[in-house]
Amino acid sequence: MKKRAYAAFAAVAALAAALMASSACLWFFYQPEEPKSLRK
Amino acid sequence: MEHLSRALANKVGGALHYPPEQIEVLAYGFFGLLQTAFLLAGTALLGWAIGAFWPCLAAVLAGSLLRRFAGGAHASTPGRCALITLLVCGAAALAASLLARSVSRPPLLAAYLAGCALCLAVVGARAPVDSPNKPLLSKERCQRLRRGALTVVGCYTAAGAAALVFGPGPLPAVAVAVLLAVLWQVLTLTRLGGKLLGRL
Repeated sequence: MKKRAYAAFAAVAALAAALMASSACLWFFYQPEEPKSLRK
Repeated sequence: MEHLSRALANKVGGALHYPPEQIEVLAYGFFGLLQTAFLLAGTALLGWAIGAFWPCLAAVLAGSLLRRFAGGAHASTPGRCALITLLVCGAAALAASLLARSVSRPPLLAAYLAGCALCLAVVGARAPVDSPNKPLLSKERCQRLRRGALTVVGCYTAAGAAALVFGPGPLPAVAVAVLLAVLWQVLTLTRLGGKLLGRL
């Protein structure tokens, strides 16, 4: 049950990261360093 | 917020036995989600507190959507980012409410269209603007983002003009708040905006 919850969180975070990677900027006025694997 | 997102990523990634590269991606995603939730809630609360809820929310959403395509200068820390976002959206909402109450619609519409024309010109010339933390390496991607930014400003122009001509209630204030937020975003595309944000 716990592992399913973690997997769900991971999926949401990965989806958010993928959406952010396809844009020019995060959302607001701070941009954290983008992981190299997402730059490809 | 970066520490929290890193801690969450380590916990979730550790439990699922992810490699370090994947945990880094999770941390990036968690940061985006946390920052978005915090800033949306913060601006909604600020908007409600100053009596300009819809203009404040519209300002943050409109500015952020444009920023996803156009990029722009950045603050040096998440805390400064949050402060700038709240100040800009709050000021835009207050100014918009005041203007919508005190200026009649025809001159307001003319000023709105002039502001949108300026935004289109700057976005067409400068967007997208990347940052060292998120470089834009592909020419096709830059062109796609520029087209997206121009489309977004075009949609704001049409929707805002319609709101100013036909819109009842708070819609004119919402339209003006959107324009003010977009003007600020467009400023961050310029060298002047970059220097200003670098100092803040």
